[in-house]
Amino acid sequence: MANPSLQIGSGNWAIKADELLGYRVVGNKYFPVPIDVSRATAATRVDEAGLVDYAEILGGEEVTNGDFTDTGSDLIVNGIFDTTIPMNTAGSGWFTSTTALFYNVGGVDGMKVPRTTSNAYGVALKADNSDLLTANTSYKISYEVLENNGSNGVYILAGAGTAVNGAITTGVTHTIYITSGATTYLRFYNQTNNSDYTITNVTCEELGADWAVIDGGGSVTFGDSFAEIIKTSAIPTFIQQDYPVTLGASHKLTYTVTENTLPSTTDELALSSASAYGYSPLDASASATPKTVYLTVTDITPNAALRLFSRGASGSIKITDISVKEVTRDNIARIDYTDGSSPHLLSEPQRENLITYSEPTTDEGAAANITYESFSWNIGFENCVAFGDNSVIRYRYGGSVTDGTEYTLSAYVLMDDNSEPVITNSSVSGDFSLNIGNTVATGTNNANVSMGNNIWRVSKTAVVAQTTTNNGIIKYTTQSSTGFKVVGWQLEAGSYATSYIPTSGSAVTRNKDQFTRDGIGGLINDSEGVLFVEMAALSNDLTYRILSLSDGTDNERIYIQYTDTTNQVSVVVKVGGSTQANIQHTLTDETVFSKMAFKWKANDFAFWIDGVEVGADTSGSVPSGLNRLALDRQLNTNTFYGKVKQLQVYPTALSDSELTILTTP
Amino acid sequence: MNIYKLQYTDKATGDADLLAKGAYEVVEGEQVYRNGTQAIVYIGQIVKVPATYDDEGHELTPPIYYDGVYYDLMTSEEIDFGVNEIFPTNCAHSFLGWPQDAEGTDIEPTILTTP
Repeated sequence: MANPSLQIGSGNWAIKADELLGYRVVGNKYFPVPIDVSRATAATRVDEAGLVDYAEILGGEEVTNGDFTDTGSDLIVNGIFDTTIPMNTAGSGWFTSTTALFYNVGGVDGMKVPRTTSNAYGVALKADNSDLLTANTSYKISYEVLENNGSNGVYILAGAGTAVNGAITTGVTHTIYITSGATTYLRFYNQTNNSDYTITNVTCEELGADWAVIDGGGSVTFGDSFAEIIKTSAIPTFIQQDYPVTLGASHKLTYTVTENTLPSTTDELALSSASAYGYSPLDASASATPKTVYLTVTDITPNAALRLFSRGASGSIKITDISVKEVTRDNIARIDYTDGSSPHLLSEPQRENLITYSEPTTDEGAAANITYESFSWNIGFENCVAFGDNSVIRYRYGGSVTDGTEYTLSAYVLMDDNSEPVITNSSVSGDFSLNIGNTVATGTNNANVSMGNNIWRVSKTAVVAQTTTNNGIIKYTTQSSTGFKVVGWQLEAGSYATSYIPTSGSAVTRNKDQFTRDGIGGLINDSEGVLFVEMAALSNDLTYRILSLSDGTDNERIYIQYTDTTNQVSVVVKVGGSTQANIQHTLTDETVFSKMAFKWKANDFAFWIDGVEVGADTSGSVPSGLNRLALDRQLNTNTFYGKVKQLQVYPTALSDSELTILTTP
Repeated sequence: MNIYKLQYTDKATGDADLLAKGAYEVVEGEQVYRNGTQAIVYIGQIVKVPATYDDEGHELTPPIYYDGVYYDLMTSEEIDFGVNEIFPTNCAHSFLGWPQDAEGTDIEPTILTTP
């Protein structure tokens, strides 16, 4: 079989801003033929892990040393205690009391640090003469113990700061983290009477590399893979890192708070009001789970910087694994994995979620006997509306519908007994009912969509008979006793539910998807070829949804379409605006994926679906000037709304056996 | 990108003005965006005072609406809508990924939260 001259999908999905990967294969080489993507809003999909999240492109890492493991260069001179260098000289790097001495243990040079009963504070082994350290700065110090004769520990003092009693196991390299005081020397002591130890391979590296500190009302120390902001007054204390930012650009910030003794866990960590992001309180509760927040650069003066700070008056907070990446969500194609199915391109119409709080924590309309709870969903949400048993009537309403308009209400549901929810139009059966337009009695409860982990997306479509805000979920006392949890509330005008549109305080619109590629005349053979697509409709909604090859006008076209007849697909050829072929077929269910191929050649047209030729036409000419692929008819009309697993354009008319193989499921 | 928040006395007037200003056209009965239009959202009436309900969800008092009907228009074009352009805050409608009160020319999207 000839290679396709153009492909999309077939397991090879790649997206970047404004483009979806189209490609052609020559031999074993791939040549990109990018498809233009347009949708000037964000949009969600189900990702590979089954999470409901935004389709987005992340840029490179903007933060360096976000996990605080990077250190500065080694400050120690002669950390191996080269015995050929005279002690107490600048070249030796060490200045000691008279009893400390260079010492060789089994052929390895080191420094012996003895103590007798007369040494009140032990023997000071001082690295360098002075100015080794910077005051009030954190360091990582390591040393290897060559020998220990009765000492209880390597006692280390950095300037006038707090001393650390380091481990003294022989033959092991030990690491301690220490913050210097007001003075700048580093000393090793021995605090055990009548003992000595010998160390070597001493290093001292500054922590917090790439981070600036503004002490304010406290201080910052850096430790083993963390920064600790210690507060003594309410004046903010910062850790800051500068990097180039673009006004209006959005960023994904992730961070982990490992400890927090500040009085609040919500408002004690923030981004600076003087930074590019504006003041943004961050969740500062301690958890091993990284936190994520999305931020938009609102100001690039005076400082373009990530500037985390604490406003707490007392206590401390430890933070680590800080990451900032630029994120793009507009004009990003969505590859969807709903229901664990193989990935497919998702193309949807413009829709508006009329529920103003899709992940609510409070009422937005009439409600009774429900509770708002924290709950970690396996599909990515972190709260829920909990409906209890049937001991009382329970409901939650919101959004506004207009008399005479068709709406679809949807939500994600987890039943307390992990069963599939049973939704009815009756108050005396099932688990609960969906109310659209202040009634549960009318409308169609659509098939539940499995999200995995016993979570279901339920939905109902109805034409409402009154303008009202009574739209939502209700559980009657005469329905099952099983309680359930709900999140992802969505009410949209239309005959079917589309991908989740998050809202937080207003109705929100997701724009329509558009996919086009012009100027590919060299990849489309006017005189013969095959257009193959594996696709499914979003709904049997009785509209024309067209996927076309054309010359950029309505006159010269080859296209496959879902039509305004139930479950009908057709292929059409237009030459000079006149129909040359129009082969129709009725599917069992157009929302189920089918493999369809349309072969064109003068007086030889055939339509194949799922391994079977469903129609042919032996009369007609072929169009000319085909140079455009689009998931629409032209000029935004009859846009293809559906799912596409793969699309291929062949430059030759394939044989029947080839078409059989190509389209067999 | 430009976002306009518009107020008209009724839907017929609003549709006619958007058509006259080239925001869309009608092709075989379908509203088709043109001239840089990314989205037209007919918001309709906006509630000023919410309705009240009894314990079983029955409406006790109906909502009170602001005058007129409202649209949000997202477009790459700059269009003069005159007195029909309004500048509200705490808006009833927004575009996904854009600030709730986003309005004006050359504005940028924002990112809210993960779903």
